[in-house]
Amino acid sequence: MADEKVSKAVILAAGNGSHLRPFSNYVPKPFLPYGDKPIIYHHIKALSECGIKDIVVITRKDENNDGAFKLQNEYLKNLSKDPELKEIKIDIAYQEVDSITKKPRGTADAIVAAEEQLKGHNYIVLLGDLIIEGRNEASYIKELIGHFKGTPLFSMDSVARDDAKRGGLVKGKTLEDILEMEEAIEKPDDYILDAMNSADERYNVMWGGVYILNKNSMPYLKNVKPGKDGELNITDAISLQCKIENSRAYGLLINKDKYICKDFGTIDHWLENNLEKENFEKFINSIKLYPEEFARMVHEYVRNKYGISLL
Amino acid sequence: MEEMLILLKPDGMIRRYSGARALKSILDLGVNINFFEVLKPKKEFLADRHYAEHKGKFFYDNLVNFMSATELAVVIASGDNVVEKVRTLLGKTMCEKADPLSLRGRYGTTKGINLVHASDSNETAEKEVKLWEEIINIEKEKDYKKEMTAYIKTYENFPMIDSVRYREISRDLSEGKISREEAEKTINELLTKETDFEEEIVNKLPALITENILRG
Repeated sequence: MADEKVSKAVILAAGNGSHLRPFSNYVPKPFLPYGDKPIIYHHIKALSECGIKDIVVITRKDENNDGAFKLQNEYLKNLSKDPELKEIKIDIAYQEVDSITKKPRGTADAIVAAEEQLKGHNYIVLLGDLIIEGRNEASYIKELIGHFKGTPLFSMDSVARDDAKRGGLVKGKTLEDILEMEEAIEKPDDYILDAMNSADERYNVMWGGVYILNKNSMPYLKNVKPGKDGELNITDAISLQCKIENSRAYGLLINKDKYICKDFGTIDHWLENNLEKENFEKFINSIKLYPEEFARMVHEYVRNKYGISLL
Repeated sequence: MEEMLILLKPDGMIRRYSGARALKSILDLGVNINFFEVLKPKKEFLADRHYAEHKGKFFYDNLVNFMSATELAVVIASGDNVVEKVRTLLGKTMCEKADPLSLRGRYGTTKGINLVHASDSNETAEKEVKLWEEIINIEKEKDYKKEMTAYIKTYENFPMIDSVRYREISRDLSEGKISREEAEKTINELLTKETDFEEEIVNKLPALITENILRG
């Protein structure tokens, strides 16, 4: 019988934050404030509430021009002193960057940085820039862990055609919110979508940034080929694992009646999440804890773009 | 109502994502788009007409060679205070000196390789629009905003390299930490990663960029 226990978690927090320049020159994306805490704190809290107390954060060394990561790394090192997180063990692993682009090589490569810590474990992976919030105490992480049967599992969204073209389309049999994946197609062309003949023009894509990988996933993460975007992607590693092991991976739909996806991938998404009524006051207070130049730019940007004063 | 000329420069063309983002921000100003087309003007037109007033200046040759390296996205926009609005959005001429939140500050490549040309005063705007109307054909019935939106949609999710990375190379070259040859090789590899332009066109850019950097 397959081992179905998910005992560790990995949070990917080494990205370049290219879409968040110039803010990410001062603060790495996962360390940006969301309400009263950095985004990454919300991830750690959510994991601990699901009983996952052993967490590896993939970050970047703070030498050379990556000064912004110094803030994040120091924060992580002190986090176990937080009274609300005292039972949590946080390990840090560093992802290397490509020598030419000075960017990390992708999400699959990020997990490989924690190979030692993950050996012999099934683990849940969270992307630093996406949060799935539950309504009425619901937890997507908990639900996903509940569905884990030893083979890889990923979060999935049902999207319109234009969005499906940009994402990783998954084909397979569906039963309620679960899809048994037969094939994953990154950035599908029109003729592939036409062939699927979806009556309501909705398509399932790997999205939401939560995955559960098993003890055997590591070699596939290491050997995956670059995708169309030139990056080494978790989604491609899952496809590779299924193909070679002749096994199945499963997708769990993010049910919008129960969950809200919060995306922090661009400046406007990040700020709009914070400008919501319930976060606004907390956000104003938390920016004060960040570097002065960063706070100044946030004020200026919010004033110009949204006509709102944060002072 | 004022009219002005806006050009996506060769770095904004080759660096697909950055160019698309710049055009998107211009659209977001709510200006009217009276013309949009991707075309390659004759080098003589750029040298003898568009940049005539710069003839003889130290940057003239580099500027003309750079601007004629690729096709350009040509935009004629109009609206109240359009020149001032677009100039503010763009930021200062030199990318490193531009406000970090301005278009050149965020997406400009380095130094004077600054993504976008825009008429710099109402007087120039009138002159430039008139001049470019000699080589373009404006169809009154055409929805140019739709054309521009389609262009943006094609490229706004392209893979991108941070401008930060080009500026690191620029700084290292200026400080003599790397040779010109090394800088050009790296710039070429980076441009290749964020474009679908043919190799022979991309290959023209690195030497023009390093020349611009070393001119200061």
